[in-house]
Amino acid sequence: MAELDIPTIPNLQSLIMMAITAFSVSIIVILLFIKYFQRKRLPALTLAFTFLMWDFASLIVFIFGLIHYLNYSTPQVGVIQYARYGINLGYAFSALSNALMVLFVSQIYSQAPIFRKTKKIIPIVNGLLNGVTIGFVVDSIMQSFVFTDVVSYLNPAYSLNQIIYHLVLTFFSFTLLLSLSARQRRKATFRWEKAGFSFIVYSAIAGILVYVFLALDELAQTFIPLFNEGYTIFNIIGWAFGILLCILAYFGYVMPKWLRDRYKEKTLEVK
Amino acid sequence: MLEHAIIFSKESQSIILTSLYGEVDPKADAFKDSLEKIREIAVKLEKGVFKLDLANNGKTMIVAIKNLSIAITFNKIAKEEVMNFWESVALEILKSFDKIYVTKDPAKILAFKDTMDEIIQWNLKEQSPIDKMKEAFW
Repeated sequence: MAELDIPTIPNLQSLIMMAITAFSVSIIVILLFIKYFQRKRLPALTLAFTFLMWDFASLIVFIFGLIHYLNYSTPQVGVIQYARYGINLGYAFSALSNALMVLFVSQIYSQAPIFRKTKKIIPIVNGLLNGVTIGFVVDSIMQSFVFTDVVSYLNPAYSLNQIIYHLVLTFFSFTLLLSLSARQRRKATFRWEKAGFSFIVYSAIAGILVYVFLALDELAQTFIPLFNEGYTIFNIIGWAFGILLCILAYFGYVMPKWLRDRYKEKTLEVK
Repeated sequence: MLEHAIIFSKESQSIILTSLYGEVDPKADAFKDSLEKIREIAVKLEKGVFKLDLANNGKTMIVAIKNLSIAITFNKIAKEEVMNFWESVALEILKSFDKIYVTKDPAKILAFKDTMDEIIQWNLKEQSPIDKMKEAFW
């Protein structure tokens, strides 16, 4: 695992993708809070906070990455690794987002047999498991202050185990959303309702792919010498899926009137 | 909206379990003719769903799997999406009951009434995901 601790410098392409993703998530957060204040329904508030945590995650990764990029032009040991603090804090906020996502799923799909049989056990256990991710992050950051060796000092680790653990939990929360939405899509009567659930399914797939590609980025820089400078093409693709997730979430959750009308017109034409 | 649920055995061509959720008791004399029609269809229906209009503007949905059928009666003509939803609940009840029914244990079979009631009451209490999405977002 020693390779993981060698500092890397964020590149401009990755920073641009992070910035666009953070901006896209911010728009979704605002729209979801507007929905909540219009409708006053708990699932809308839960989803708004889910995206808010994801917004904090992407913003913090971007801001710390930018600070690092502006301060250092080449990888150096023994200096503050801002980007790594950003990534660690990003994972912590992402873990909170995961926990809230499952809570949202349990609120919308409360009729599903899995939630009837388990009541609130799934969101509670999932919340605790995501708390472990936050524990990893806090530990990494605290350790970085007390290390005495020059490579680890002020250089919080984000181990492959931590990344895989978070990927598994993310996979669980998005897969739960995906499978229940796909089932609901089959039961929906109207074309626009089916379209709404389809967009949610696709957004969940995009959500999984964000973390798969961010994990691939880490794997590539660890095991493939060509990518050892970090911030590989996988990182850029991962953030691109983040932008796609926002677009699909906009269609699926916010569902603008023009989109709903488009599917409603088609329904009338079929009849 | 939902009046009662009745589980039939195709093998014995008879009622195994009934549970009342509304006001129309399936055992009441006033429902005798309707019950007989429902029973005839329920024991003959091989697989799938059959919707039967009742004399009092009600409707019964009969869902069958290989050995068993369930009839769920509504007090008025329900929307298509509501019927689709209850069809999936009916199938869930039948599949769960099938596992109990093969044991031929009368105590377990009788105890399944509580499970059926729990499933139906939960679904009556909780809104459908489509309704929740419409209320919160769409």
